[in-house]
Amino acid sequence: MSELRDSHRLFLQSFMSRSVLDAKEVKALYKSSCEKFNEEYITQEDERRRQLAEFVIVINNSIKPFHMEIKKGFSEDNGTNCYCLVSTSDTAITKMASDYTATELEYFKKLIELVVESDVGYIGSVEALNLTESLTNTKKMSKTDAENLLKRMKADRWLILNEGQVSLSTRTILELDMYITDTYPETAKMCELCKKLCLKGQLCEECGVKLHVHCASRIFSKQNQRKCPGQRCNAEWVHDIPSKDVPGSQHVQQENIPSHGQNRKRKAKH
Amino acid sequence: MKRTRQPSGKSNQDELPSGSQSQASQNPSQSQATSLTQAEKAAAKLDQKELELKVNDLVQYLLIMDQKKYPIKKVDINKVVLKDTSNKAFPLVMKRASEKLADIFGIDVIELQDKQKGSYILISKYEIDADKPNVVWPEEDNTRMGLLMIILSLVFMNNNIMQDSEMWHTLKKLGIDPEVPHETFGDVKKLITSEFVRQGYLEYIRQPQTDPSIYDFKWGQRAKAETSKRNILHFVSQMYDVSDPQQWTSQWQDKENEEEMEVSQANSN
Repeated sequence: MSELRDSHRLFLQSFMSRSVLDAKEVKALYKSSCEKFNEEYITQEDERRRQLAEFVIVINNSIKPFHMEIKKGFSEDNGTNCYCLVSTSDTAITKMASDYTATELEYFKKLIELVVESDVGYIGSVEALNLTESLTNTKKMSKTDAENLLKRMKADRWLILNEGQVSLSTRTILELDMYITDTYPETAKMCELCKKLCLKGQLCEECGVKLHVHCASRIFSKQNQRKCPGQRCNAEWVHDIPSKDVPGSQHVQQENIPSHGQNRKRKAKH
Repeated sequence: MKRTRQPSGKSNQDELPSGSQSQASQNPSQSQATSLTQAEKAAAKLDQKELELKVNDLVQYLLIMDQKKYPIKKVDINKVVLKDTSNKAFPLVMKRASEKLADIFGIDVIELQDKQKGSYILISKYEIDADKPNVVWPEEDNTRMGLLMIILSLVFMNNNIMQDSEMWHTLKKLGIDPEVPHETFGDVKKLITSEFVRQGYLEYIRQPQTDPSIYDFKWGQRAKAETSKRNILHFVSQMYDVSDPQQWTSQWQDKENEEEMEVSQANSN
């Protein structure tokens, strides 16, 4: 196993200050980390990808004792990749604890509950603001407070606010997927194809099987007869399938940075 | 608001030592300096495994608390991380945690001096070149750091101290008015006189017996640790398009003195 070098440390530091980077940013960061310490940066694509994956594994092995990990995820909206430095301790809200108050975290948990229970993976902003009424914490929260909190959580990349819809960001899904699946084992659905948590996606009305939109397009883009992939279901798949060339969706298989699916298995053994 | 969570709870109860006595008597001798002997005795009561967990908890705690860049107090570390463990274990656990932060994260733990003794800050080992950003930092941080660099430069070029009225006057020329909410920085006066001060980048000291109060700006301890006079001089030279920073005679001398002091300090260690 190769040693941790200055380039790894600088790469890690940048990750710590950013938390979320997309594939392009990761590549640029890797390049500048290598160059700063005069290490070879391979331009040949496949080889570089292999090296970068190895590079991240070295880091992940070193930071594991501190319950940290660089994980790869994808946007449920368009399938593009991104990389997050997440806290893998049992209560992954640790990292947020220094930024948000107890009341705010309670609000956030309630919001997660509503999003998970909705079949579509998002809730309306009015519904989100009304959540303030169900808080039990002694410190009350006004609608204005909630509105500001939503904005702050968007800026911190925990939430996506788009056209009156509130949904969970890739960062939140990566960081809290354990929490979500453990807390809502009945309602949280996994994608039939990639077996990862699926909030936004396409749902089979017959059997309840769910697919990420980009996963669905991987299955169906070349088929004319679209059938639900659920076991013994075979109902017709009625949703629109976007064209297969979703940016980044192909990388999902190619790059071998450990994805959170693998992590789930590892954690389950504890 | 200050709230802290204990990183990765319960582990120390799960790992209650079995036969820890015999183990502990053998392993505390990490050839520490003699000043650690008392701490070693305390640490020896900890099982080696437990000690390792405490060290890891502390690393995690320091990283989380450093996000806001506020100095981290020893009192809080004892309360949150070490808890019921004897407080005498602090020096050893802190020493080990600092080693790990350096080895794995490239971060130095620095204890503040004077009035702020007992507080710690984390500093990257890698100097970030202002003109050639090697790494991507959040945009918000970048703009704030830009403002901070200007303020530090102003103070430095003004013989390391600058009165508040002069600072505001100069910043106004850059479109930054402490009385007017700024598009990017919001309440810019609060940012400069409270946030930067709390983070240890600046000192904002009231001159005694002044009415209305007059304040002075100086470099804070974090600024001294995180950047250098050389770096700032280089930054200023670039802004003024001066190719030879030695043209700033007194500042150059100041920088030289600082570097000499660092060398002699390093030698004496």
